[in-house]
Amino acid sequence: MKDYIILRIITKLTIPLILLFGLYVQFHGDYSAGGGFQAGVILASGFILYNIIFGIDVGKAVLSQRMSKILMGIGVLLFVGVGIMGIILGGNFLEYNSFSFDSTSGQMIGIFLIEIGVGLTVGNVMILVFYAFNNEES
Amino acid sequence: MSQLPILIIVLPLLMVPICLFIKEKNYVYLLTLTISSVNLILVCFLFYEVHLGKTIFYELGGWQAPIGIRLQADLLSCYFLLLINFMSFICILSGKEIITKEIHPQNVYLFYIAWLLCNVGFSGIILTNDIFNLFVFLEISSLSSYFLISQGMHKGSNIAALQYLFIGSIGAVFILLGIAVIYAHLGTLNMTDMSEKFLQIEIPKSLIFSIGLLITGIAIKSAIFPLHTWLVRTYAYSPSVIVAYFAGTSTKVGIYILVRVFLDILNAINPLEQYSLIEFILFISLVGALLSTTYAIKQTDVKKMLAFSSVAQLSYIIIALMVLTNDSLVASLIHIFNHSIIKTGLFLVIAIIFVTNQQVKTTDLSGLGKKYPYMMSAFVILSFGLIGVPLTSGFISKWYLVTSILESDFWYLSIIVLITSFMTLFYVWKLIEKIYFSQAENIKAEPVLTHQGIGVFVLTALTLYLGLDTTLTVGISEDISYMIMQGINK
Repeated sequence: MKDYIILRIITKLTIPLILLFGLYVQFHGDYSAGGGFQAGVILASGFILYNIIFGIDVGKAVLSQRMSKILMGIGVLLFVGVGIMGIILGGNFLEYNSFSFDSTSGQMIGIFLIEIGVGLTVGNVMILVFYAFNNEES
Repeated sequence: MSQLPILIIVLPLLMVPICLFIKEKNYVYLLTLTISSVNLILVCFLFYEVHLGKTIFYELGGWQAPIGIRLQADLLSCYFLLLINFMSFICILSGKEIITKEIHPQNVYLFYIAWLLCNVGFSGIILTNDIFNLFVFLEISSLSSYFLISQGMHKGSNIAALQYLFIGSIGAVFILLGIAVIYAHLGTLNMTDMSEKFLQIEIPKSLIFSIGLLITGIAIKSAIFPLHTWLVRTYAYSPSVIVAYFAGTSTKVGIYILVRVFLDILNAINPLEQYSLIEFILFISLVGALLSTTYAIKQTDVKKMLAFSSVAQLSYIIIALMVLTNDSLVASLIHIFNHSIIKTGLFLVIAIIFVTNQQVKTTDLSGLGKKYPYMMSAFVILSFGLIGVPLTSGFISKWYLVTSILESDFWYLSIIVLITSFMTLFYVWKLIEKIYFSQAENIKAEPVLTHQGIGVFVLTALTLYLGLDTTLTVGISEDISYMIMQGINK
């Protein structure tokens, strides 16, 4: 759909905004509404929009299906890993109090990592669903 | 040791991304087998800790109960947890070759991953003490089971998965709506908190509505008559190991939710009685038991026959739950355990022998008694258990069912239970006649591998053992039932 000039220009204009908003929702999730789940979907929607307008081959050059799968796994691993880290440091699962010198900054670090894990997984699942609809062979 | 409940949920979840990176199907299989045996051992430890009636709470992230999310392990949850993890272990142990033959080679590792996720979902449903988390775990197990079902060789398996997806989603919406109404009224999602608040208030009509929604949703998810149609198709067309696994687990988890939410948490019997819903549910279950046994006799497809038989057995369990005396609760808990073992065993035998068959007709069984003497004698013992022949575990559960119903106000229901049990004999005899008294066609017998034989042997031995020594099933069920009845009579 590259030939449609309006679509192309508007997409180029909006994608940075979508990604920026996605990052805002991701990193501001611990204070306000939002978090990894929503941010993952927003970021993925920006990426999918780019794919729709400029062709899926361009998108796959940036983020291949294989890479996306790996990132999805890393997200889950990060989530579970942080949770188990809490057990190793002597608390319960997902207890971040002992991550840092005081409990407040420990909580900060913990929730930050957890949200990144959630965001990675959700975003890449959205992208993989999009790829799956385009692929016949896999 | 205080970390046991969370480890049972988290260890398989941790293996999921690792399996995704490894991809090599033999290593993934080994990891899955290891983790399910580790899980089984952990469950045994947990069982040992709660077996004296202790309840273990586990606060996630160290947040205290009504605000934070909490896991709860008591005798009821450990009883089901043991069942689920045992079935998963046995099916994975015996299923390797079957899965390799049946599943598309590219998808084998994904298949094991989905299996692990399904197990995470089931364990989570059983262990959680937060009703919204129960819904989330239910969705985890459902979503992975849609994938598992769609991987069958039969061309109908995709359609079966799609049908299950639609019906399951409708059921999930019912459950979610019911939870939302309860949350709007009681202002809490924690189950223990909920049951305390439920006792204090006068129950408004909308809560009755939410109980209705929850019952409908759970009935869809656990295939209680008349919402069982997806189950028959699913059992007939999905991969044969998955049928064996689901026959023992997925519907039983539905029954667990029923017991936990309606008897333990909401104490919903009084409102149900008030609107004479008990009689209604009993009537439907009776019709279900009669009809599905009749359908089972009519079937020529063995898997469909056993699926209808499962629906009939579920109807017995529901009848016993709804009669709700102390003894009938014991009976239903025993029957859940015994029926799981028997059905998984039967489906496992079929899975091992007919790996490459898309459909298993009753005529396919003819003459197999000579070809697979051990497997078929196991099959016969297990199907005797299904009828309730003495010396098998089926006899114990049928005995408890009939006597407990006879002693209750609804004594006439026991006649139907007895009649349908006799009707079970017809379709089981159809199979046995084909196995032993039909002429064999020229099919060559493939050797049964040792670990597959072990799986079937363990289940058959358990069927016989639980028919003689009932301390495990009856003893624990009595303790659980005592615990629940104490809560209800409060």
